[in-house]
Parts: sequence; structure tokens; C-alpha cells
Amino acid sequence: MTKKEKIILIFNWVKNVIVLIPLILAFTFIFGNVYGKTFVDQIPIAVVDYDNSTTSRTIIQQFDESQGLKVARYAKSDSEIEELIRTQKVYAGLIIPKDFEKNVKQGNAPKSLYLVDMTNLVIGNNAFAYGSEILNTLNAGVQIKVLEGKGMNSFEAGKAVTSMNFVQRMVYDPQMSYMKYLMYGIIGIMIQQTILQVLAPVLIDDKRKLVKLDFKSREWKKCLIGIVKKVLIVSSLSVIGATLCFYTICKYFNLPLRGAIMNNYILLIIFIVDMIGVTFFFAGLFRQVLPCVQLCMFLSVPSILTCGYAWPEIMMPAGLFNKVNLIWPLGCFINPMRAINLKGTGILTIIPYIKGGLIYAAIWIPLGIGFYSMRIHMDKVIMKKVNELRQDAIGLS
Amino acid sequence: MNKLEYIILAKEWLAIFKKRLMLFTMLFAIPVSLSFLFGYTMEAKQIKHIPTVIIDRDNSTISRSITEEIRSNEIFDIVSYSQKDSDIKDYIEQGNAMAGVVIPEGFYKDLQAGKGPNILVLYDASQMSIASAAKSRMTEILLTIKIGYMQDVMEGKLDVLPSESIKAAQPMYFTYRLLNNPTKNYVNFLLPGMLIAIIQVGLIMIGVDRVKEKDEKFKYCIFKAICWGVLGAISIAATLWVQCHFFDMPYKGTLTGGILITIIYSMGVVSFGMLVMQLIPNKLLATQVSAVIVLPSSILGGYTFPLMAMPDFFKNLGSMLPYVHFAEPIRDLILKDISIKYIMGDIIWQLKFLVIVWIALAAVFFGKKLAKELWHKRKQSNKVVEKI
Repeated sequence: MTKKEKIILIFNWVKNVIVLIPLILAFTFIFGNVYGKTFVDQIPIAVVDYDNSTTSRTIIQQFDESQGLKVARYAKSDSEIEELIRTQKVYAGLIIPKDFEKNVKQGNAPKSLYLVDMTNLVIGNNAFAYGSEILNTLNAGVQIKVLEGKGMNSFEAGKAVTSMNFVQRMVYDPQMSYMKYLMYGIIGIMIQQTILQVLAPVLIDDKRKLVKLDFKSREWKKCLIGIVKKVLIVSSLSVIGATLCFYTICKYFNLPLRGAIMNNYILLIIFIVDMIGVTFFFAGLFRQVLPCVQLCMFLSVPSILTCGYAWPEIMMPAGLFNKVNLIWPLGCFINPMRAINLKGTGILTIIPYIKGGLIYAAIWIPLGIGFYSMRIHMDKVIMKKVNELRQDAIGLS
Repeated sequence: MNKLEYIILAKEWLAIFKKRLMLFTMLFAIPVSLSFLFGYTMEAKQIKHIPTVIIDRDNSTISRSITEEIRSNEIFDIVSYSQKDSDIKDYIEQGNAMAGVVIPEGFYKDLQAGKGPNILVLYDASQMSIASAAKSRMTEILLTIKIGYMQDVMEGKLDVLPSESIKAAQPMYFTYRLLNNPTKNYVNFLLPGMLIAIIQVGLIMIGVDRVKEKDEKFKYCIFKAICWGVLGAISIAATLWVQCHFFDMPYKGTLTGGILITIIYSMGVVSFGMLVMQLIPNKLLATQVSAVIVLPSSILGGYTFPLMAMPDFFKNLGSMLPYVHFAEPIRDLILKDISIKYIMGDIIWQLKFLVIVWIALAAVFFGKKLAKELWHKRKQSNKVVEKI
């Protein structure tokens, strides 16, 4: 090995270590901070108050004082509100009609309108929830007054209004934070992408070397041992990277790791083994590193969207989830990982995913390595043929 | 021509074919086929049939009517009627249910006695999209039942006429109107941005790929950026057309505006890829760096989790991404009947970005050329000195 080759080799491995550990750690910090604010609050809204009465002003004040919403614009007409929503200056609008207070007092149940822009469902759902909560609370207060007006005493009226209550509880994540929802999946994606980005080029380079070597030579065996070593190094670095990511989300972003840590590692190791199988397949498929790297770059979004993580499994067409899991192993890793860490799910519940991951490995490891070996053999035959022809051509000339 | 020459020629042609095939794959085959795959995966479009457990320990007329309301709603699928509270926990923990309703024993009796009994509703928040849809529909159902019950109370206790009781039960009648995506269609909300994020990766890598060492003139670089940018725009249009044509995604806004912003954005991203390649001459490294730069765009750009909820630093960073000024206007054009003036700000932003990238590209291109010439001259003069 020349000095230049040695420098390139060292540079490549330094780059690989950076990709496998500090890079995914840096992205964990970045995404953790991006999703750091749990709530989507202070959503700008607009109001049109045609009534301008004490009651209408109280309603507007309630909206403005709520943590979730802020009255950003006072519009003069319905169309102005719609225009403000269309230009995304506000995401919701409240229209209080004329004679609102008078009609409330007379028991005519005046109609007000709450408009919500659902272009971005995350903002829209929050604006809707905050707004309806305020309006329902206000309604309850007025209901008591109406009942009192109809001759009920205040105790009875209060009892009637609060007669039927419902308590809604979000289990495992009361705040419904986006970070808890997505972070485990993002870590899975990062591990997937880094293994592909690091291991595939290494295997393609070694494939080229193996094509040139004699099957029975000592170099051939040395190269094979080298491949095993590299696979083990990449796997170990991935485990270290994943461990640091888990530590980071737990320590700095307060994400729960409720279940047994060991279960996370069982899933992680199976996933890494699965990824090794796929990477061998990719390395067999491509002769050059560049197109392989280019193709692998496309995989993050489709793998998370089709594995039942972002779009739930129960909403996918029948059978698709199982088919996807046979083609790509991410679903068998990130879905149970979220369940373990958010719900504290035990081993029994994640066994189907472990089985899925193992079946995947049982198919893809032999398939990947077999395909990789077959390509080496094929390239050897082609190279031999070309060399023979070259010799013939030299002989003829 | 002998056999060897044929083989060498065939090999060269095969290499060219493979290169073209890869470009076609990145630009058209992957985005369009993924558009079909995503459309098929998310064909349900809205969250429905959420597996739900009901524990009705009261078994009264009202508790049965609550159960019936939930059962007949398309959002919920009742997977179990149970009597044990722990069943909900088990079902949710094992992922067999995602919502649970507990109606306590003596509910109706307590209701009549005015004791304010509670109905407990539990949601599995580990799957946010489901929990959010379930909560919003369950609230509607329970509020409707509550208002119905209050009407009954008023009619019974206060001798109010049915036409009057509805007004008394809801003294302030608030109507809710959901604009632009009233059915809360998840596909229309999510897929445009996700597909654009995928194409963006392809565009930037094509930008990197298309820079050649032998490029002598800057105008060739610009010409390539324009040509590949237009092809990229066709790819974006084809990918979204698949959604519109096969999966009922609307396109309500201006077509001219949509085409204009798509072409400018596409050229900008391809040019940015070229700039990265000019800065990092190693193609493999440049490909990896450029892809890593744009891959987190859909997260940093606030396409789902909005920029307004991010810390200021990320808010500012996000607003500097071309993705933000393209994916969001495209979603707006899909969901809103808007004219070009509504996206003019974003078109101008994309135009500015394109010009800045071209200026930077020119600076790096001519800077490198100048450095090369100076290096060459220095080498020449060294040779002359050596000779002397």
C-alpha cells in the first residue's frame, strides 16, 4: 500500500466514524431542539366583532389571554378574515354576529362562527382544540345563567350543567408532543442511512479487490477476513451511535425510556443484521460507489412513510404492512421501539416484530451475501474473458 | 473491428447507458413510482376505524346510547366490549386498541341525582395522528349527547318546549367551519411535501453529478442548470399529477404560478448542487454532503411541525431553506383556490435564491480558474528559473 493510499484509507475511516457517531448525535441534538417546544401555541387568529358588547369583548379577551391563541388582527368583515386566512397571516378566525349579547340574554341562541385553516393539520387541529375549549367553557357559564333565569336555583343550575362530564386522558404522552411521536423513528432512520452510506461503499471497494484476486490465494482470504472485520466495526460503531442517541434524548430532551433497555438492544442488533443483508445486496448490485450512494439517499422518506410509523399500520391496505416488512426492515425496528419506550411494552408484545426481523435476516443475509458473491464470480469470468481476448489481440498484432 | 474492440465499445456504451439510466431513475422513476406507492399506502386518506374498547359497567339506556353513537361512527371500530377496567390498559399496551371508553357503574343513577358522574376516555398518544383524530371525534360525540341530555333535563324539570330547550342547552351556538382541508385529509396535508423532499434529493445530486472537470465555460454550467432544472420541474409536475389523477388530490390554485415557482425552485436546487460540487471536488463526498444538507429540510422547514413552534434560531434557519418557500406554497395551491399574487413572495424568494447561487457559482468557478492559471504560471516561471 502506497503512502497516498494509506492517507485515503485513514481519511475514509475518519469520515465513516464521523458519520456513524458524531453526525447522528449532532442531528439528534438538532431535531431535539427543533421539537423542543412541546406545544404549538400562540397561534395567530383574527376576530370580527359586529356586536362590540361586553359579552363579545369578554369572548375575545378569553381568546387573547389563552396560551394557545393570540388575537393578531381585528378585521372589519367576514371576507377580510377569509383573506387573512388565505394569506396565512392568521390560522383561525372568530366571527361574532350583531346583537349577539341581546340574543344571548333573550335566549335566542345566536350563532357565531369559528373558522379554522386546516392546510397544516398540526396548526389547524391545535387552533380548533384551543378554540372549542374556550367556547365550550364560555357556553357552560352562560348555560348556568340561562337556567337561573328560567327559575332554577344556582346550585341546581350548576349541577344540571355539570351533570355529565367526560374526562379525556392521553395515555403515555399526555402532552401529545411531536418529539415523542417522531424522535424514535428519526433515530432508526439515521441508523439505517448511516449503515448504508458507510458499509455499501466499503463493500463495493472490496468487491473490486476480490474480483482481481485468485480464489485460493492468501490475499483472497485476507480480504474476506477484512470484510468481516469491517462489518463488525461498522455494526459496533452503529450500536455506540444509537446508545449515545438514546442517552441524549433521555438526558437532554426528557424522552422516556420506559421499557427494558435490553429489548431496545435486541431490536437494534436484529435491525443492524437486517441492514447488513440489504447492504450486501446493494453492494452486489452496483459496480460503482456513486450510484449506490445516490440511490441510498432516497430511502429515508419512503421507508418511514410506508413502515407503519408515521401513517399507522391499521390505515394501510390489507397485507401491505407485511409485504413492506419483507422488503424493508425499518418497521420491525422503530414501531416496537416506540412502543417499548413510550408504553413500557414488554417482550411478549414485541415478539412478532423480533420474529419479523429475524425472518428478514434469514432471507436477506443469504440473499445479499449470495448475490454479492455471485457478482464477484460473474465479474471474474468477464474479466478473464476480456483478458483472454486482449491477449489474443496482442498476439495477432 | 476485432472481438476485443467490440467488447470495449459495448462496455463504453453500457457505461453511458447506465449513467443515463441512473439520472432517469433519480429524476423520474423513483419520484413517480413512490408517488404511486404513497398514494396506495395512504389510500384511506383520513384516520378511520380506530380500534376501541368499551367498558359499559352501567348498562343503562343512556350508556347504551353512548356506546351506539360510538359504534355507528366511522372513526371508531369497537374491538371489545368488556367489564374489566384493566382490559383497556392491556389492549392499548399490546397495540390491539387505541382508544377506550369507561362508563362507570351507576352512571345513569348518578346523572339523575345530579352527582356529575364522569365518563373516562383514554387514548393511546404514542400514535399521535390516531389520538388526535380520535379525541376530536369523541369530543363531538360526547358533547352532542350531553346537549341532548341537557335538553331532556330542561324539558323535564323546567317544562320548557323542545324548540326552546335546544336554545337553552346551547345559549351561544358556535358553528365551526374547517377551511381548505375540511375532511382533514392526511394525504393532501402530508404527501406534497414528502414527495418534494424526495425529488429535492434527486435534484441536488443531479446538480453535483452534472459538473464536469472539463467544463471550460461558465455559460455551460448555467445552461446545464437551466436544462436539468426544467427536467426537474417536469419530474415534480409528473409526481404531483400522479396524485391528482389517480388518488384524487385536488389542485385548486393557479397553474401558471405553480409552474413558474416549480421551474425556478428546481433550477435553484440543481444550481446549489453544482455549487457544492465546485466547492468539494470529490464527487462522492460532494454527493453525500449535498444530500445531508437537504435531507432534513422537511423537518427543519416546518412542513408538518410548524416553524412558529420552533425556537427562534431554527425559525430563522428554516425560513432560509428553499424547501420552505416551495413545499408550503405548493400545498397552498393544492388546497386553496388562490391566484399567483398569493405566492408571489415565495416566487421572488426562489428567484433571489437562484441569483445568489449563480453569483456564488460564478465566484467559485472563476476563482478556481484564476487560481489554476496562477498556479500554472508559477510552475512555468519556476521551470524557467530552474533552466537559468
